[in-house]
Amino acid sequence: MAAKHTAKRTRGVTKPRPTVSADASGTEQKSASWVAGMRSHFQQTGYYRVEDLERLLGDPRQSFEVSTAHDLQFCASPAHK
Amino acid sequence: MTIAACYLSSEGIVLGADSTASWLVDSGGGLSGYHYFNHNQKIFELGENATVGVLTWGLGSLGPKSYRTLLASLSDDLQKNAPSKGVAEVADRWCTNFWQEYQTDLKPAIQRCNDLNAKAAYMASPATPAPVPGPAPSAGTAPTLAATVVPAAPAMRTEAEEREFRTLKTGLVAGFCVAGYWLPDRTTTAFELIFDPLAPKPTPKQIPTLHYGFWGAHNLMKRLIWGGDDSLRADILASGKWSGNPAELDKVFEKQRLGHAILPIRDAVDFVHTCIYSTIKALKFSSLPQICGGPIELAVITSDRRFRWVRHKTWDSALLEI
Repeated sequence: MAAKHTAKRTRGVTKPRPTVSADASGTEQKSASWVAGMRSHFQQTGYYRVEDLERLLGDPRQSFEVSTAHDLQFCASPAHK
Repeated sequence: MTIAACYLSSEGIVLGADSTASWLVDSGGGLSGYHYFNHNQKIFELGENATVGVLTWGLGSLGPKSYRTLLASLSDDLQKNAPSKGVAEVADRWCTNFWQEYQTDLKPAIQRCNDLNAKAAYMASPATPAPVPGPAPSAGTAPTLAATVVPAAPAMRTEAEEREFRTLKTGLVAGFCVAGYWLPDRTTTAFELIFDPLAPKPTPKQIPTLHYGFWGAHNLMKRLIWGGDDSLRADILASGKWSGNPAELDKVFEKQRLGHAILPIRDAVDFVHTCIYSTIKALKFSSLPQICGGPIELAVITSDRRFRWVRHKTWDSALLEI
């Protein structure tokens, strides 16, 4: 029975499949221009531009530093009790 | 590049790093891509049975002199001339030693980077015509319209020079975190040193207790912990759609922040491991070059014990990778 239904549903049906590049309205989402530029450069040269890597990974001259003392206040605030 | 982390808890310090060394390969026809060695050493015990460790990121070596050798020499010197000002002096002495080597061994590359920096940035199609330099007016003469001087514009970098400049400016950055304690003082402390080809000799910057820091490819953790990175922040501010000021935007980010209470030292080890692991996997699953990877190394220096490895690759680790 189940096989019958499956056959009916699939035979001759060519429904368009949603893709990851489509949003809820069905329109295609375009990459940001810098992402497209980065990919294009990589395809042409085989390596990433330094500015793209910096943008993605961070400036090697800088650190990302966090104070857990600040977190203590944050966790102890009424909103988070 | 690297993902490196230092966590200062009330019990001690956790150091962590990946093991990948990335080389930009020039096969004769220009830089053709990255080549990776996944068993590089980025955490060093400063001597044997030591109470200080050193974490490194950025530039992987100074030509013929390895960081391993330079740090061993510093350790020998510390044995002969014990520091009177604790870890702060250890960091100072490393800064002086490394600066000397950095300036000597990389002199041509640093000079080239500074020469290129003196030129104006490359622009494919300048928005405004370059000012025409004129002769300087002689002293005592009133400048006339014709003699009005526009400062000579520095020469503009070519497209190839721009690429070279960006590679040098980033590739020559070397960073270190010197962390631990020095008896008789058991207070654990850490100092950050960043050697930049365009900057003078750095001054060690102390990282306060109950802080943690990431270096190298730190953006991925910034996105996870802070809710966004500097590029996202800059793009929002530049979009013209943000009606508030930058501080107000930071408050929005602040609401997304993932915080935690004081961690027991073993949980701090877990936190550092998680952050390094997450960065490695984020690169893997975003189709970006795998500039962080290999075995994750972890070390701990608690105030009651000396430097201890939590995870340390064996000498045959590279043999096991096929």
